[in-house]
Amino acid sequence: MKGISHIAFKIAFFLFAGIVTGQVHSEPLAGEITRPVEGLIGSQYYINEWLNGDVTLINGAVARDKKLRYNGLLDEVFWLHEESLQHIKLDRHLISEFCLTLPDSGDSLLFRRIETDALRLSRTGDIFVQVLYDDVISLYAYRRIARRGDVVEKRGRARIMLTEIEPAHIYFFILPDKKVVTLENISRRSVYRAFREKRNELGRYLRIKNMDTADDEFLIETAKILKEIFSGRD
Amino acid sequence: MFSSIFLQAAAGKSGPGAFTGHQTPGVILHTDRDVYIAGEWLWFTMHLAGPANHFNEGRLGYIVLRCQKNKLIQKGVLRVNGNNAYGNLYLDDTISTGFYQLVGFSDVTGNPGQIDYAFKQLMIVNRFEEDLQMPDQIAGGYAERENEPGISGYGSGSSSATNTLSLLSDKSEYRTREMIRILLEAGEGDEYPSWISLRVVQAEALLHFAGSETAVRGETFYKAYPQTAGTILPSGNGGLAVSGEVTSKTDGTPIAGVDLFLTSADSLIDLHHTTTDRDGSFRFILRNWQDKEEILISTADPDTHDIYLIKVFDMFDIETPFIPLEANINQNFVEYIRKSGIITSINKLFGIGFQNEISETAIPGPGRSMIYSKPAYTIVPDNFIPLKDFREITREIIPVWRIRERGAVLNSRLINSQTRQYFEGPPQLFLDGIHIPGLEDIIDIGSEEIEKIEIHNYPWRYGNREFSGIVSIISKDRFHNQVTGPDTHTVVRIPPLINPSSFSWPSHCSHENSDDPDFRQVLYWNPQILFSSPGESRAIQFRTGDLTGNFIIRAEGITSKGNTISEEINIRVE
Repeated sequence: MKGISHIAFKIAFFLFAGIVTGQVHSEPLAGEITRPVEGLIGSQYYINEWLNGDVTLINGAVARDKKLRYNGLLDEVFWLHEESLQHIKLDRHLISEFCLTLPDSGDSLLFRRIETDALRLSRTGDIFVQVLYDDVISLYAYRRIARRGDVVEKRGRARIMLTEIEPAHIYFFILPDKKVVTLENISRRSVYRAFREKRNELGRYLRIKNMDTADDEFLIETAKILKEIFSGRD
Repeated sequence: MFSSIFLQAAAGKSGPGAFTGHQTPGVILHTDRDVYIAGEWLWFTMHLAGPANHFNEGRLGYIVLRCQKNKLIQKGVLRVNGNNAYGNLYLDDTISTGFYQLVGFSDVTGNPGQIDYAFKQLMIVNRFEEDLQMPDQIAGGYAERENEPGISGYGSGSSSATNTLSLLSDKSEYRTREMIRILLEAGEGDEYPSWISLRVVQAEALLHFAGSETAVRGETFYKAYPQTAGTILPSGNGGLAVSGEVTSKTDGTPIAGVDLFLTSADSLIDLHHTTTDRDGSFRFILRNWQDKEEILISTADPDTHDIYLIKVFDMFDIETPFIPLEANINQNFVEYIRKSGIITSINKLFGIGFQNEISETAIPGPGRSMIYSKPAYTIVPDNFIPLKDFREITREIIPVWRIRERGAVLNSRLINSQTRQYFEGPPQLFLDGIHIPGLEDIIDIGSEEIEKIEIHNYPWRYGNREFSGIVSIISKDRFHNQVTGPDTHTVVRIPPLINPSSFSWPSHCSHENSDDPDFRQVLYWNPQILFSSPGESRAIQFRTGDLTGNFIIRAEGITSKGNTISEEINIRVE
């Protein structure tokens, strides 16, 4: 949780700085008017609700307090234009990063558009990743929604084909030498396997911190421990 | 060694003109002198009231030089750093002899709802005018004040001091090309100088104006006026405001709810959109204004540009007229002016200047407000045979764009890339980045005039505007100049950005034995000397030039408690 809080604090600071500097002007967003994809079983969004958030554009300007949703199936950011209720698929190449504010906790989730080269992915282009930890070591989560298979459903006399989808997140550790370590599932074992050379140190630290759960927080703690290890500190 | 000189100097006599206790105006404006020759640079510095914190980020200052007829001679915009902005203006050779007024103002000065102005009267003389006529307001009879230099008894130095600020020089008389050492010392009390400008100029370069509240020469007058519709300034920091109103062309009534586009000539579309308020007023905040020379405002709806009038307010149009004060001069003044004219000619002949060392890099603002990143199609007409107009161009080489003509009415549609059906409405047109309200304006452009055509045939939203696709045409030779006129666009010239610059002089001015002439009438100019605590001191040194006579060292600014402060001492160069 500390990792998220750290990122959340940074976002809150910049928001506050933006307000107190009088930068109340909100940049317009640009994108394609779309209709939601239908015929799916499962949610295509990382978080299903429209969340308030800010979009930082590549020109440095910020579009503030927009209703946003990240579609992990399409890897696109959608904006709800509240007057028309249109779903706008934002022009991804105009976006540098965006944040989503969780209504209950007030925490902000920061997403950044990153070239796939930097993540050593075979596909070209870029993807949106959630920034879980950003220091000497960075930890990004690609909130991918993947197709699981097709299902034929009978509705009355009609038979329709639906596509089953499910979250298939991928995590990227970016090490100080820009080496990328990819994890497709979270477990102590997968972390040890990924960082075989640091296994003993990692295990010691994780036992001290009593980290046993296989979730984002576990990976954020792992990133912090790796930072300590790579920095050469005990 | 240096401090011992100043300890000795501190015993010197008090100078004139020290005044404190004036509450800080919203804007403080100082210049290097009061008298200029056309063809010289004018140096100025501005201090804006308010705390020097992040409220000031992106704050802008404005400067205007106007003549007795209230005509603008120069204008510019300054980026405020902390609370301060400074720069210089070139006084063109063609400026005629007379009194002028430099006006400084800012968008945010800590006084909501009003604009604080600083007015400073100057005299500019044109050296090419054969029969030099002094302005009417010049009067004789100025008697040198009690401790003007040349009277008697300079000791080993000069000083002027209050509890707040001490100004000291190591000597009161200097040879030509001799080093001058000046010390500024902040008082030890809780009120100390926070911002000071310092100038060392020939005594004749500072004028006495009759009616001045104090006897200090070269004083600036300050006044605050309520913000009115015609003088709306940006309160959203970091951008240049372009504001105005839309009225009916027939009866002049303000029109609410008119969609306006602001664009500029560019290879990329940089679109700003706003809607008029109830009173017909509008405002755009341009963040990347410094890259533009002019902008064009048009109604978004092609059918309305014939019936609405778009008026843009000129923030530099200052309502208060400039009525010059009478200046008192002594008999040597005309001779001083003649000499100054000759010096200016010599300096220009030898290419000697004291300006334009950029001391700070301008902070880049956000870039263009792009409406799309990549078009769906890009067509380069040069790859095809020449086509005489857009009827042929669309028919032959752009299958997703259809133009139909029914009588005088042109019907333009793109094929929606999602549905493969024609859009119900026409696409938004741009020529060289400029919004074109109607296809009629560009229909006759031939393909040989066009560099490329971008087609973005998606149902598209940009902020609150919805487009049935976008067509962007880039011409080879700024064809937009032929199709954008007052009937369709209101053109606004963007004032130039004045970058901060420091006063520098040619290297030979730093050498005692140089053979090159050094006719500096301003020996030194520092637009901002900052203090952060009581008891601080600033030591400054520079050489005298080849000019002899009386010089004035003046330090003025504000204190940590917001009071104005000024100290002045006199020296002589023999």
